[in-house]
Amino acid sequence: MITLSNIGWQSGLRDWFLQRFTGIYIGLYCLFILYYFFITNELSYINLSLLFSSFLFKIITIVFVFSLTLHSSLGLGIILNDYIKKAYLRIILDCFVNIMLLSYIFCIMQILWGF
Amino acid sequence: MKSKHIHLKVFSIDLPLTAIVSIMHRLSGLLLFVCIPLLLYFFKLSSESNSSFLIAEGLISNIYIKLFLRLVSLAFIYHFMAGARHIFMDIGFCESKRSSKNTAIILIFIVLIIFIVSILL
Repeated sequence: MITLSNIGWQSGLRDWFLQRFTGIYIGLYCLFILYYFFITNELSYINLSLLFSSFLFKIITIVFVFSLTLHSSLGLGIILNDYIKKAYLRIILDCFVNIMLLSYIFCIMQILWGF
Repeated sequence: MKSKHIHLKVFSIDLPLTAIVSIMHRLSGLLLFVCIPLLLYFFKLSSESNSSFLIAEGLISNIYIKLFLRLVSLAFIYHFMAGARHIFMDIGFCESKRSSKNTAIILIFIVLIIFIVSILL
């Protein structure tokens, strides 16, 4: 019988869990953003900077960005693995995807520090 | 050596609804990934100052950008709801062939309802 303890952490189980947990975090974050702009009644610069100037929310956002990065990296990795047959092309595209994602982390930090 | 015939030409198989829902989950995820730079650009514009926030608002009121962002929001709503369905099934609900088909139909309806409501709001 297959159980959590005998299939091994590196069998893809770790990716599987990361994909789900980051997905849940991303979903909850987006729901909160929607809720915030729903209760403040207006999507304005003042409301936006009020939310993002909070130190706690900056941390929450950074965790969100890292979750998004992991989630996309895993998801795109699965898509590339399933549909790109040529190994070298797949590796190049995978590297490209991950480098893009890492640069997005820098971008979002730059934006967040501006608040 | 004669290889075993494995038929994986996606467009010539009669796909069940659950498979279409699953492939759409992948496609919407891919679209969302491709759109990250655009969304980052809008976030950067709206974060800089009140005037650049208004510029971003002006850009969004452009009909083509607006339509594109509607498409992105549809992809997001879909990816969100389909992901929720996947986690629901991972936990152990609605795993059978019949109930997964039912949840796929429910999923499509819910996504369309949320999308239409989001346009009307």
